[in-house]
Order: sequence, then C-alpha cells, then structure tokens
Amino acid sequence: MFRIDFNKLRFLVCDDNPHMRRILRTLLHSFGAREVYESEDGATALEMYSHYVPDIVITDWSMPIFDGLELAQMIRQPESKGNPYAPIIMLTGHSEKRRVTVARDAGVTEFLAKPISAKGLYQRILNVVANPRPFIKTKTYFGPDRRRNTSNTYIGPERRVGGEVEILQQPSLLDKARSTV
Amino acid sequence: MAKDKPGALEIKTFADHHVITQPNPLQNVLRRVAEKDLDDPVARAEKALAGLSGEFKNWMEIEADRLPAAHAAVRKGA
Repeated sequence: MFRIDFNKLRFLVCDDNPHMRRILRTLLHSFGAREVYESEDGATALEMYSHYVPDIVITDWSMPIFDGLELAQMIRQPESKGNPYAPIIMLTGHSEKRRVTVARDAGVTEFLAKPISAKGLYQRILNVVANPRPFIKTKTYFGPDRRRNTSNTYIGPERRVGGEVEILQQPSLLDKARSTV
Repeated sequence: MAKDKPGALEIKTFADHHVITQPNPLQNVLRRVAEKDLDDPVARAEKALAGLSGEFKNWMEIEADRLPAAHAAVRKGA
C-alpha cells in the first residue's frame, strides 16, 4: 500500500473567497500538510509562488487582479521565476467542457469542479505526485502533455508533426513500486 | 523539507514540438507502507469538514449580505 507524506509537501492555495480557503486549508491539514500558503488574488499568488516555490498550486479560476487561468499561464512561462513544471490544480464552479479545454490549454495539470470533496482533492494530488506527465513545448503551448492516454487504435489526424511521437513517459511510481515487490 | 533537487531535463525534439521529461521531484513523498500502518487521510479530512459544518450557515449569511451590496455597487456604476 502507498501513502503520501503530506508533511513534506508545500502548497499554495489561491482563492478570493476566505471560506473556500478555509475549507482547502482544513482538508490539506487533515491530509497531513504543514506548509500551506494562501493568497486571495492572482498577483499575490504569483509573488508567493516565486518566493515560496510551492510543490503544488491549487487555484480558483475567478480571482481579482488576474485570474487562475492567467496565473497558470504565467507560471508556465519557461523563463519565469520559480518552477514552471509545478503541478497546478484548478478549482472552479464551471465544469463545461469548453472551460476544461481552456484550462488545459493554459497549462493546468488537474481540474476539479466545485463543490469539491476530500476524496476528489486527494485523488488529484495523488495523481500529480504518482503519475507526473511529461511536458510538451510548442510555439503556442508549454505545459503538461494534454494527451492523458495513448491509443494504438486511434485513426484521426496527427496534430504533432514529426512522425510517430515517442512520449517519454515516466513510469508511474505506483507501478515502479509494485514491480519491486 | 527533504526533497531531491530536480535532475537534468530530458528533451526530445520533433519538427514542431519538444517533449520534456523531468525527474519527478515529488517521488520521495510517496512511500510504501504496510497495510496495518495505512491511515485514511480522506476519512480524516471528511471528519474535519464535518466539524466545520456548524459555521456554514454563518458563511452563507455573510455571502448573502455581500451579494446585494455588490449588486448595488454595480448598478450605481452602470
């Protein structure tokens, strides 16, 4: 069986609603996290991101000054301060496919629709810790590989130029740990 | 916090994109435990949320008070 040592993780929580921040703080502390930094707007979030270098960012979409989407785009600038590869989990009350697509294209790693559950948040965190995706850089995108699955039977257009793409997939830590049994 | 410094990035270049794989800097936070030592963080978190539920009514009242004030401000500005 596997467990995440939350006390070794540093979180940045970005939400303009203090009650939502309280809920997230409660959940993360209950999971075992000790370092949880909070911001109530996009500008403060970016500043704290550069200063504290969190391991995981959990951000709302709608925030003042600049929103979670813009925050994700700024974090994902390859030349930005801080770590452009940090997992970003976006929370939002909007769960339409268009929104999910826009967030994905901004470089968000995981998406969680409100109202959130403890289980949903835990699973997203487990996913970013145990199953990190390689990053893709193109002229218009830098972020986690937007393809979650590869299919040998796919017959649609190949949007990536360069022949068959070999994705350097990191083995899932869970699979790697199982194989050592 | 004991985490490995990120190792070298592995970059594979194609005609119009690059695939960048970085060693997982969070791998050390995931560890194998015996079943008897496995705890349930989700259950703990749900219990903690249940403890907060007494405050939800107050929170809703605060939000309900903010909403007409925000509406009035928008109408005034319009």
